[in-house]
Amino acid sequence: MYSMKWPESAPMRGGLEAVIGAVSDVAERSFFAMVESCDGDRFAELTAAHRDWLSASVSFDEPGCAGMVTCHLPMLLAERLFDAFTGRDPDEPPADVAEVHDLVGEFANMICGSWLTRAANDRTFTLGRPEVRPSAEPVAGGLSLVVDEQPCVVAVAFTRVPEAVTSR
Amino acid sequence: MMPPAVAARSVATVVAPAATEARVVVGIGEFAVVTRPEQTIVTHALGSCIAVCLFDPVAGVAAMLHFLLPESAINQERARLQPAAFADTGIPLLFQTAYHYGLEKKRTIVKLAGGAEVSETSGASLQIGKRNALAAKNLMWRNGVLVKSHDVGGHVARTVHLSARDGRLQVFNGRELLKEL
Amino acid sequence: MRILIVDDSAMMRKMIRRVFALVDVPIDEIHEAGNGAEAMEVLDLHDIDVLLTDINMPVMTGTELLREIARQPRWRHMRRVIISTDGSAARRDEAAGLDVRCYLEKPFSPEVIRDVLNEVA
Repeated sequence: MYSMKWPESAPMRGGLEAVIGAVSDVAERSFFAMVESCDGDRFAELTAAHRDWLSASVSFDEPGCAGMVTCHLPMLLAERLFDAFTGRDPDEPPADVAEVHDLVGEFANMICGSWLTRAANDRTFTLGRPEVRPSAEPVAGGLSLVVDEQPCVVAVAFTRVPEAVTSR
Repeated sequence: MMPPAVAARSVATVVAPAATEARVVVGIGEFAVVTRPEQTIVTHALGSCIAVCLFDPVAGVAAMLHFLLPESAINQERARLQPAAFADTGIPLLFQTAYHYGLEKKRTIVKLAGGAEVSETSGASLQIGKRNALAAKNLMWRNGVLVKSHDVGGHVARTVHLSARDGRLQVFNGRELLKEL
Repeated sequence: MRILIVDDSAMMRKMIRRVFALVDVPIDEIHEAGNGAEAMEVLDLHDIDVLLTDINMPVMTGTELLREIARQPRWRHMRRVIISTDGSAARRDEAAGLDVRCYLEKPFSPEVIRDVLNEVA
């Protein structure tokens, strides 16, 4: 089971619940996908079924803090999200890799922005361009979620907070 | 071998374009298509289930599906016998049947109702209502259809009436009219 | 109606285009741009009636684009819509000062794009 360290000094409303809320909102509204939590054993089982993963990172900067949101998801889920978001007709040719990467980047972008809108106490923020890379497996240290019956890890890493970081 | 009319009953679909009754009732896992302006299609007990309602104002065709579950893969035998029980088999069947009676996709007004979490049963904890609503919306979008309006979610069971005269959808909780879509 | 969609995600632009193809609103042209600078190039070449723009984009942000548009009387008629993940009150207040007709917060369903198009058409 992955866990995410949340610095006490991070000036963000809602903690991890706000992150989960953002993932659910994005997945349901734009991707018609269900988001659930699950226990470590089930998550490990779901994760083991996949070899090809994508990692999408979006940096953020706002007056209170800065950091990065990263989403790790298997290629199978990425392709499903692509179909759902674009409304791809099954008779259309499958998406090419660049399009899937673009879409996963936008997925991460929306999660990051949606979370900051909830959590940043109405401060404006800027987001970096999403960076998407193939990955062999998800990294440790994130929220373990199930999106449309598939594993997805969402991690928030802070690079700047008002006081010294004292992670638990 | 069963004659076609009885076979249709065995798959629990209701297709009543020639029905004379003004009120056509669709049960769980059933659908109906009507073509007379004086007719109304009604379905009750929409808990976690979804009513998919179609209306073509030019052809004067109204149709309604009452499905229980999002994906037929979980019970393919049941899907074979009762395709209207699932979103992924029922919704295409609803459209294909309505096309036979003159409905055209481009003109069709689509409304959804239901998808509530109404009890503390295992169904509620599995959030079947939400899954059903997401499945219906996804299928519509994947098939190039935008939903005109919807009343989904919440915690109350709904009854809906679809008018074949003007496509108006009335949503009730018991006798109380909740809204008109 | 001539529309310009500005977003650094090609898939977001594709999704919006797909909605436009399903809506019963007469659309003559749809142009796309990946950032504010590209949008300015399109605006110099084509008459645009409706602009949909993201905020956070590389090279030139949506805010910078809207400020540039607001400076020029020839674009006064253009109906402006923001589509952004940033739903903060501060950003919305900023948009209000830039003559933005609709502020659409991501994530949204396809139907929301349809409703916005019907509103600005």
